[in-house]
Amino acid sequence: MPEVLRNDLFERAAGESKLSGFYVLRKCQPLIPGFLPQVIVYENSSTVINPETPALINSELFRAIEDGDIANINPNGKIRVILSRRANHNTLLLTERCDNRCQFCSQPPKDGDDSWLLEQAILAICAFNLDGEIGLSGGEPLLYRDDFIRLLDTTIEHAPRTRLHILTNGRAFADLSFTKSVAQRTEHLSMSFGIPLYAANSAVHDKLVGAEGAFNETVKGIINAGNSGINIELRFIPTSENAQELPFVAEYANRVFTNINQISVMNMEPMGWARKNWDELYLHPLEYPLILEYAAKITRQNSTPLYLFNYPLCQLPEHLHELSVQSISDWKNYYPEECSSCSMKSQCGGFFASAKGKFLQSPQRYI
Amino acid sequence: MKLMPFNFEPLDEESYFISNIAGFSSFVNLKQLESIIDFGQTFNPELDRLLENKLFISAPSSVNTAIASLASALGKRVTIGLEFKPIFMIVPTLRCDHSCKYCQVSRASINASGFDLDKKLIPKIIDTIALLSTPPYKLELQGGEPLLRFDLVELIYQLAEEKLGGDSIEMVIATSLSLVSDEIIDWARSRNVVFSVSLDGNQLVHDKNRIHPSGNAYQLAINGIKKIQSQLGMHRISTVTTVTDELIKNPLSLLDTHKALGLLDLFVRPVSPYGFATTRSSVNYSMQEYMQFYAQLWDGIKQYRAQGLPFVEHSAAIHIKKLFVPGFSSYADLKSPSGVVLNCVLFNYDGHVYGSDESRMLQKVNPQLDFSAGTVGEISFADSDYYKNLTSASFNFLHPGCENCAFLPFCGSDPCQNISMQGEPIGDKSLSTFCEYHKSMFKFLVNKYNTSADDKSLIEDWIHA
Ligand code: SF4
Ligand code: SF4
Ligand code: SF4
Repeated sequence: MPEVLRNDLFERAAGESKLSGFYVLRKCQPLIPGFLPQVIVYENSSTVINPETPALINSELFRAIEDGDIANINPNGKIRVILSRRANHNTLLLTERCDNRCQFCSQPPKDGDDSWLLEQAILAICAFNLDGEIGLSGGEPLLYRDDFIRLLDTTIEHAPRTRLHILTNGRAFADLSFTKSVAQRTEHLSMSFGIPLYAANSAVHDKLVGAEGAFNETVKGIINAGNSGINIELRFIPTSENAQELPFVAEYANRVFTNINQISVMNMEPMGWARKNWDELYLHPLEYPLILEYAAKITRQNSTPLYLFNYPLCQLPEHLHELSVQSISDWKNYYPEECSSCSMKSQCGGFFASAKGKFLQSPQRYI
Repeated sequence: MKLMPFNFEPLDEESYFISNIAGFSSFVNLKQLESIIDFGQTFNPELDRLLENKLFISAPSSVNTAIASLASALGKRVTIGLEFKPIFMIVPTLRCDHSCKYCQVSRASINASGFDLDKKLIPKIIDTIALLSTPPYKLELQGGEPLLRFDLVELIYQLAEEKLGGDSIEMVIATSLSLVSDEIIDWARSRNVVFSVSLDGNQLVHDKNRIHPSGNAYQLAINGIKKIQSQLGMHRISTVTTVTDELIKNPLSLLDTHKALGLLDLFVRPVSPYGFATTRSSVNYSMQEYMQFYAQLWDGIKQYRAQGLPFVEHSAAIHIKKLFVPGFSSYADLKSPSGVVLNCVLFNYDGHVYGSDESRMLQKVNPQLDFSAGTVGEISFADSDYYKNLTSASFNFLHPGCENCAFLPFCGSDPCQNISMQGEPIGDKSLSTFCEYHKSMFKFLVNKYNTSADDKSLIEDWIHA
């Protein structure tokens, strides 16, 4: 693995009690019964106070966490810190199932009942009780309609300062009564929904998301959600199939949709199916600067801002730098060797950790 | 592909401008237009994709989505149009030291009595403004000549500053500048005050219709402009030009006059057909002549821009924003529902409150009727049949003539003008000066946009003006 900005993966030492599942990581006593079982993390064996309670002795982990962070320990002893008070983004996976089959999906959907993921997520959100944002992703997080509503209700009750950002394909909002029940909860919980629209027509959108009828449901979904007062971040990933559609999507957003807080244009992440389809889909940003510029112009005239995510600065014309956001989550963000002497490094978002080999477009450092 | 509802307007033998209720627009030629109507497509894949993206046609499986999108866009437009964001106009006095031939408000002579605002009403006016709106508050002082009662202007500002906050108010004083003294300049220096002056062209043109007893209206205006520019800064003064028979013949003189003053922003419009203006002799030109004038002005502006003088004509800029900026709805005189009440509340010198400048003109011409929403302290627009009817009669997509016009989503309605000219608020569009003027401007601009790359880039510049 390349050097990422924040490591989130640790090993359980051999011989440590066979804990597995979601845990609250504690650095101090006492343990109070809560939503999840708790485990104390010690820096080394000499600091162990209470040998009775479940414990992990791991100095690296100890230094990486805050009291109350949440970890998932798998049966093989891998410890992943899934909710961290130090992270720049925290994201929970609600399901691996999805009704789309996007050609560039970074987390390719799986079938089969995995509703336990959502149950665990509810407990994790409540146990973490953050005054800040947690991202919910999938798969398609709204697939289990009623369970998602229950997640909102539980969060409202036990972790009301949490702000949720939900990454969804928006199709569920085509169902107006579901939309209404989500909208009711926005009075008590801050939430916004990131919904991708890859074209203003069904042919291109449906092809990219690998599902006929998806465009119709997503567009109706965005209309319903926006008009019900739900905050939306509209997302767009330019590929060789749809880059030219961006200005149309921007105009559509400004004329047809309401409550769009921002349009996020996101560089493709070389993960999952995007890796497999990379050669057909990937378009180097310097092949479409005019499109980005034009779309930015359309949105500048309105109150909806447009931002660029996951673009290394050296892959954008300079006048678009101001739209670029340092966005890659720290646990998968890295800067290749070439960046070390680049004068823009502190402002630049760098690369996905998965961008190696043919997936890395060589950085052109600024001196 | 399925045909979705849209309107079209021929620009010349070949080209058509098309638009739909969502406010999308595009250009097609006659053959393409016929093909869209007959077959729901042009058989040019790229154009068909564009037409689909803009909801002119739809894939058969997406017709319901397209309908929902058109409906949502219309709903969005109407909702934005209904936002209550008024400019507050205050008339400190109806008296004026000028007697301009096209004057719309029938001013009172300088020594007349009973035409000034009662000082005691000002606190109540400011309270009403605080009650009705949120910051930033835009105050516009109209006349008559507001500076005849500079004491009232000062008081209005002072009380507004106290009650609303100095950073939250912006005052525009519409004046002929004949009275702008050092005292006034000093006062304005540290305040959020800008001046708006009528400048109709060069001396000959200006003095022909704008009459000051000294015979020197032009010189007084120029002196005032220079004084403000040198002592307060260039941005503190803007001009408004009313086009008269004299200027029609010599469009470029207007640019020269502005250039000499270092003013690169113009706001040019035809004489309003209200009340008194057209009964005088200053306007005999037709709209066709006006547009010929405007085309020459346009070319002149282009020439100057090529030389590095970036003139902007704001009437055109407003039409351009209406066309190309979704959600642009802040210009009171070109919107539907109309800007009456929603975008303007006017406090008249006599304490009556109106929903537009035009309503007070209607009042003047029809003294037997009540066009006000009551008096300061006791106003209610909601209880006024006049204003209720006016607003509900100002949704242009329900108007015969507008409902199949390609400029419908960008245009507006002017119920007061229709009452004044035709006796009722909707009006026959074929007889409407408002319609004639705006249709001509829209047509002029989209035609320019479609036929010349130069003009297109000028138009795109003015989107941000
Ligand atoms: S990228 Fe597409 S297929 Fe993958 S989870 Fe999201 S919506 Fe589903
Ligand atoms: S060289 Fe590296 S740090 Fe510099 S702009 Fe490119 S990606 Fe960013
Ligand atoms: S007023 Fe005239 S130009 Fe405006 S929408 Fe109506 S018909 Fe068209």
